[in-house]
Amino acid sequence: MSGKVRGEEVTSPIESRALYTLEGISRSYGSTQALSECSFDIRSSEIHALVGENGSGKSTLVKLLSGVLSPDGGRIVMADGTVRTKWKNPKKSAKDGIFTVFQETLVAEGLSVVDNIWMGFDGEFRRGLPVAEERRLAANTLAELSDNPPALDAPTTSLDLGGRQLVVIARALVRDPQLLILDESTSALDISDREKLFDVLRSRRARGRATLFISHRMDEILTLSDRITVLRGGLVVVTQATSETTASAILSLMTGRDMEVAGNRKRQTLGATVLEGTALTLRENAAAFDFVLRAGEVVGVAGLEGHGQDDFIQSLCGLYRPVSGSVKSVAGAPIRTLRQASQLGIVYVPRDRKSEGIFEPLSILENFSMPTRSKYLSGGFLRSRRQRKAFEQYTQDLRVKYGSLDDPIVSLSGGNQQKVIIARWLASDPSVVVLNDPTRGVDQATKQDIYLLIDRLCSEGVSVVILSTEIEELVVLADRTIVFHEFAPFAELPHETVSTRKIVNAMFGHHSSELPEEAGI
Amino acid sequence: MTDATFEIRGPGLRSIGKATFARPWMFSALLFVVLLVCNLLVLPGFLAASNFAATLAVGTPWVLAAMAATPSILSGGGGIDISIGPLIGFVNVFIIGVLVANGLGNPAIVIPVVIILGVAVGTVNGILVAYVRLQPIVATLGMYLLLVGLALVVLPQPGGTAPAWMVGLAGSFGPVPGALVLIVPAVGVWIAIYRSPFHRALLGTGSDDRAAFTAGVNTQLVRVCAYALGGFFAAMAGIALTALVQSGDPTLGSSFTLVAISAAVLGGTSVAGGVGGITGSIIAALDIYLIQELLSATHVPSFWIQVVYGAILLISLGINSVIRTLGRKTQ
Repeated sequence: MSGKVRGEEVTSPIESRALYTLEGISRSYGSTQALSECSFDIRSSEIHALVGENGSGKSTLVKLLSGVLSPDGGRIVMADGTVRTKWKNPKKSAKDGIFTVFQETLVAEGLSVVDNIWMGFDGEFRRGLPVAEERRLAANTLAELSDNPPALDAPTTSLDLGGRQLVVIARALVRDPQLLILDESTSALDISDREKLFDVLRSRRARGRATLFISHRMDEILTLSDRITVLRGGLVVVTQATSETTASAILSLMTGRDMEVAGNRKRQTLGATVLEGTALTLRENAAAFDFVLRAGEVVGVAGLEGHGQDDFIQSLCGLYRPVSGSVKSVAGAPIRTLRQASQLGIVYVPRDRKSEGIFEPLSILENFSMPTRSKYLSGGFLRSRRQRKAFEQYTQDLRVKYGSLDDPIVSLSGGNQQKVIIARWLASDPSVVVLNDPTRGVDQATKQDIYLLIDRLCSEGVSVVILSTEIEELVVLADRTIVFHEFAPFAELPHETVSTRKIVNAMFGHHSSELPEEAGI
Repeated sequence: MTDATFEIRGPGLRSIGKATFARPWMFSALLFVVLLVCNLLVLPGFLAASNFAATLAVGTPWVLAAMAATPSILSGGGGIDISIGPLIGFVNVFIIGVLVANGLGNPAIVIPVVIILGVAVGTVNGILVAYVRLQPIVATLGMYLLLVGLALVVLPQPGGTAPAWMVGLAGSFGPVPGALVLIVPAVGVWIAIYRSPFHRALLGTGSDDRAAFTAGVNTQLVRVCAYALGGFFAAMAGIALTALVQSGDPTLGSSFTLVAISAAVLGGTSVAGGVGGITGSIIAALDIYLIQELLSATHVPSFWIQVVYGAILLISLGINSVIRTLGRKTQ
């Protein structure tokens, strides 16, 4: 790699030309098509915003450009005409001028600040730059990014999240890449550091460099970017100049039309309060809020990845300890551990079926009866017939398709595994069911079965809290939907007036009332 | 009054914790001073010039073995190389049973051949871990069994005689203790690595391989190099062991694995990877050596030596861990 790292500041605007032209980039995970035929270009001297909901393919695209994943199809044409179909690893993509700051703050804790910044820049055995030069550039870059930069020799373990984020951003900036990709990597920076970063990005633009900018803040996107590409369901919806669009236009492009709501369920009259959260604070400096759950109610929870909605639902069942505030059952019993929660009839169905839900080596029946085994004990021995009976009762309701109960759980399809997991928790006769994205990665028929089950549960007076990344299902199911933004509820949308668009607006920190109502796309 | 005492004690412990956290080898160094004083009290002539070279020679295979265990642990991802003990033993029987037996006992042949052997074995371990993606403990267990078996094939019975030039390695060359002829180059190699970008890549990979990978580090190559480096140090340890016992013995090697890994951990290298270094391992190997010396000098019955030795190790590791946790908290 060359020793020249930062160019001179050029103030006169450079003519913008395509640096990287994506042509038909596709990528699937198993049967899920994460990106299909994406085509757009990234030009010199531009800040290019990439927007889309959760699961729209943003992160996949970033990973393809940075050499973490390889595309299944398509190609990327670079400024000099070279064509790439993939980059084997991030080092290769960095050689072609692309460097990414990922959403997670990837610091190596065993290394100091300056070593973290320069890690990977040199060859395996040859230093890329003399030590003194490394230190000078790292110090300058950090000073540009913050008034209060971390010391070069500080261990990274001593830094808070904001400090770590500065380190990973500095790691990218010292390399002065042709294309800098920032994947929601400003969330932990404080306001002044964020402004400084934007100044750095603008000065990059003046030097002809490109930045691909992903953010959940519509205001940042509108003030900073020159062009915006909107992704939806793995497709590029549009690439357009920021000056020619508005926040509400972008948001409706992201969501598409509001889905037709089919099979609306009967609303229950709500019962007494069953669960109460008081002055909950999910993070230092996040707003405190109260929460009340009533019998027979379905509460939807939504938010962009990492905005506290996971922490919130986990705090309801004792898996997450809020910074302050408490969750209590109506009888006043506090819920601090999962055990306390389950004694109070609160059950949690985790999101990641594979790692948190199923016991892969065990059979369907064993997976079903794992937490409720004591119910089937008699004289210290498991009564298999009782278990089977109980299980069959639920499988009829949920329409689980299986060969034999003694088959391994992994022989079932993903949807049927999910049904077994849900049946497992229903067998404990819960009063509150907390579902973490129960329909992620399951087919439409299974979704319908799960929806019907939720209907039936609340008609029996069970309360359901459902976090979902499938916004349409919240629109259909929830009596009210709480949308999280920056670790606190941003909006609470009642069933009568909720729409996909309103939920997405709130996820991005926009109140729907601020936006003029307009006709879809 | 009690409060005042606590105020002094609290920060004192914590600052020790902080210091050991910043310098992982600090605890083993403190332990070294304590053990050295104990040894000198029990055996006043312990460090006398007359037998200093011999004392050092006994400790040398341990020191080099501890160095050999360290890079693979530093490389993270559950990295560990349990085959270093048998590799040391295999080097010993290879020198006696193959090289010397075939009249190739010349140092100009023995030293390079043995080092190539060690690096090759380490490289195979590294490839199995980094590219074939076997779990390190499984991959190196396979290598362990293979080398133990091969050692018996090469030299079924203890025996043979080391070449004459090796006597000096266990004694002295003029005023210079022979052990230093092996330790100094080994440490020199580590210093060169410490100052190279490989060290940064190694600790980065060990701390968080995703961070290192996305920053552009070839994490697979780094891991292979770490195991190869372990093989190099193990080969040096094998030479030191041969010089010490002056013959070949196919059963000697295996016991070095546990001592070496204990030393690495006692020296402050985190089993989780990315934290630590060879300095701590060297000092901790000397600690373990001093513990054994102390126990035999105080006539602890031989079958109790293992028990006491294990207990001291557990207690030391426990204290080290508690202190480091305190240090981390105060940061």
